[in-house]
Amino acid sequence: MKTYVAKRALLFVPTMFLVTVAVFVIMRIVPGDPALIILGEGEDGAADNLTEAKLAKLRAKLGTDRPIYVQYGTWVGNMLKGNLGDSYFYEGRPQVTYYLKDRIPTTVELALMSLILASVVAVPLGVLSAIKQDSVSDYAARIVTLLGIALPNFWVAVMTIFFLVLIFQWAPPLAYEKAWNDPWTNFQQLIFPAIALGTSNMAFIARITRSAMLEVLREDYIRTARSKGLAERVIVYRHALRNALLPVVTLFGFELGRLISGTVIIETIFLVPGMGKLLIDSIGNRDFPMIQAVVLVIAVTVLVMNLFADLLYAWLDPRIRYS
Amino acid sequence: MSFRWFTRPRALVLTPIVLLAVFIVGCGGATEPEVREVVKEVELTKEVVKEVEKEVIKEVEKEVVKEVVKEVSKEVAVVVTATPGPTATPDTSAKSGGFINMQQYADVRQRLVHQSSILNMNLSPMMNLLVEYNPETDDTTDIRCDLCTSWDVAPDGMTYTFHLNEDAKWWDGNPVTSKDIWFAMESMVNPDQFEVLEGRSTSSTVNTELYVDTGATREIDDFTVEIKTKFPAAAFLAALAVETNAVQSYKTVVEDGIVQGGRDLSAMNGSGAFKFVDYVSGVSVEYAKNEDYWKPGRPYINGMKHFIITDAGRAIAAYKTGQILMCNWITNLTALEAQKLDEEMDNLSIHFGGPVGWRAVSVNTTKAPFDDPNVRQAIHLALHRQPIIEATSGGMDTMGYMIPEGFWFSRTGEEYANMPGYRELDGAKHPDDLVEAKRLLTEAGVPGGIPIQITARNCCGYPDQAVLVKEQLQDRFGWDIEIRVMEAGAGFDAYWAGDFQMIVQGHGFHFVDPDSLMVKWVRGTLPQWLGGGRGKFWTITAIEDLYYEQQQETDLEKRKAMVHEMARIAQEEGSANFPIYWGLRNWAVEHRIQNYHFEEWGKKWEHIWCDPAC
Repeated sequence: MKTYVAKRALLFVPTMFLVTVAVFVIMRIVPGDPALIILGEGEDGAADNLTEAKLAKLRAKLGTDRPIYVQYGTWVGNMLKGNLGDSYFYEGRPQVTYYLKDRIPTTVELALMSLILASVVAVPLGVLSAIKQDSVSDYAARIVTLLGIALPNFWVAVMTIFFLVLIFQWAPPLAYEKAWNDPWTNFQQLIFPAIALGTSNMAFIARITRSAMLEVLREDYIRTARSKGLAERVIVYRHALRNALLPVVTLFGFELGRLISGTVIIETIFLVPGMGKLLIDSIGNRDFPMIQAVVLVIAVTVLVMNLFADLLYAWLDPRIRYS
Repeated sequence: MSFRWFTRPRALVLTPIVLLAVFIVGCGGATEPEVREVVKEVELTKEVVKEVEKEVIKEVEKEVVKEVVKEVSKEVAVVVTATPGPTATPDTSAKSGGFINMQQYADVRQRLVHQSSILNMNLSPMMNLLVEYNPETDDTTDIRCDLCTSWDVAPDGMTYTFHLNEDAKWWDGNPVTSKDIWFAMESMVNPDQFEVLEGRSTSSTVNTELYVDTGATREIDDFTVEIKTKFPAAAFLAALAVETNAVQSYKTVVEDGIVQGGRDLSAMNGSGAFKFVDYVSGVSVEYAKNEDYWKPGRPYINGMKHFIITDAGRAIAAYKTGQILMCNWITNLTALEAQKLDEEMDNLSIHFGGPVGWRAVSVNTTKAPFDDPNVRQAIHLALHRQPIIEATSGGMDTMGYMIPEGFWFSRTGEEYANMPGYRELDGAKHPDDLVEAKRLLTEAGVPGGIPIQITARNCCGYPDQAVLVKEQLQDRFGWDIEIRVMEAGAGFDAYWAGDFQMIVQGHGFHFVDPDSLMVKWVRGTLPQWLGGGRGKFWTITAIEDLYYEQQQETDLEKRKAMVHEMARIAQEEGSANFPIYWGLRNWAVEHRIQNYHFEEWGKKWEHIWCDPAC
């Protein structure tokens, strides 16, 4: 196991290298000059006094006039020293880490809340669907999960707000409060984004749970348990569900990573000041250092979660060894 | 005790649903729609204020007639109702207190006070202007003193002397002096002369440089400043009153080296009614009342928070639930969405204003076949504007080539309805225009089936409008049109690089005067895009000549005729920008907000209050 963990940790290095190269290069290939955007050029932007000389000066200040490999080297070098760079846009407090520190907890909270909600609904739904296979409840559950997968989460988000206003004349609070400052407001603000975000995850987990349960329920040891006259509840919960949950539990790791990257749109719609919102704003501003840092954080989260899921799998199922 | 019930299928399904229902009810049950009264007493208050203003206007008109050349006084009186009286006085019927949440439709992106008009909504509450558009009247051309107490215009019509309010002071306690006014003017006209501002462009929104050169502002004494314009310009004060021309502290910027810009609001040293509290990027900006504000009794409200809500659905939800009471400038709702919201809410009003922006098809004159004026003229004639207007705003937006409807220099909708390019026959595009368009194309030797690309930034409804334009041109000319949708920033890059054939894009002007409107056709952004990119200006020389000529024309009728002539030339001689429609902007305000008037400019919010409390 230790060897496996070491190997996986080592694999981080090339993966991260590829991620950093991809993020860095893609942002520079995509059209959109930060200097132009900073100088306010747009449909009614800069006047005639915006000259090439001014642009060149700003590009030199930002460092975007240097060859890409030099920019990349500088960025990676600084990153290894714990410096993720300075934002192009926030002049008073430009350190990217300042904004990340503020935004990461919010996004993690939202993703966790979403995962918990999804699991609370998905696991019972999957179990029900499996033990009542081909019944009305199974079909109903399958339709629900199919819808959950098919509906884009931004649509669910918009509809959630729409129905809240229509039925309760209420919408989640606009002014964000951190959980440790005002837990109730924080809960009210995040619960609905979490539902919108978690719908597709719920559907996915429910389907995995169902298929895992179906597979387990056909195993010989379940038949043996039945022939021994064990109660159905005991068979389902003690013998079938425990084993069926194995792939589901490991799925949580992957899903958490996916959820964090999925917060981008949801945070914008619900006005949640998390990493997703920061990423969207930074892309619009061509704030390269900020974009790189946010994407990097998301990538690291996904990698760590994947590793965690693999390790959890091995820990839960002693038959699995990664040596 | 048995938990067997939990294993039952029904329980498995119902338990999560019940849990969710509890969440929803728990979170959603709190708010009852409030019944709010509209206090009629406010109208009485308005009347009192108007009377005072009228008296002041009379005095001023007398002064101007005495001192200024007749034509100039006439022009000033018509174009702007300039009121060089004292700055705002406290309203005795106003109720102090309360906190207002406002909607802001986009985030702060600027680096300089003088960089953007539309996003100055974040800076305006903290700043003052030398003169301002009076926010306490429905007359959107009424200009009054803000930092000054009065002004005089010399007989030459070019020399303005402003007497400053000696009570005005910066947040750091220093007085606002003529040095600050000098600095404001110079930093707008030529920011590069100050080391700290070097490389920071001002915006085309800052039109001051149309009238004032470097060195044209002079300090007479600490509280008297003289500004000399390049020529007797009727629109000078109108340009100066736009909020992009906010006055910033010379000491803070030049001596202390702190740039006053939009992205570091904590570094502001303003003179305004509200102080900065907090900015959450992309989410909100919060302000608190400046308890030591130099205008007695103001502001009335204790604070405000501007929520940056870019999603229209979320904005509507916020208005409907009373989470936000007004917008800090315009909403981001379409005309149809705004109209529906207005109909559905008894306690909220939507004001439609403008139009000060137009949507247009533009072509790159360096790319064939658009280098041929005949082809450009054919596009103008072939476009059927009315169905596009119907599709985008339910018919609320208006037509107009260069000039919108509704201003002193405008053409009427009836005039447009009979013009080639706009006219219809039995609700369809007029066949004569189509025949002429095809003849022009044949003359230009442009065959059907040629590949054309329309570029649209993925913003503001541009892709949808590109589809409508595509359908029309494809149908009429048989062109093989492809639509390229680009992300907003990437789109601008392409436009500035001249990497486009045809685009759909919006443009606007910043104060109600041909100087501000027509300048878009002769300098700045648009002529460069039409010319194929940065530094490659394209315009029609006759229009350019007329523009500078009309700027100095003091007879309004002659000026109006010149503006119409510019439009005629553009319309008939192959302009490369084809306006589709002029769009109305909309403002939302809840009925508790008092003394609110239609706000195209301003946004300082020191004059509004809540009644009943908010």
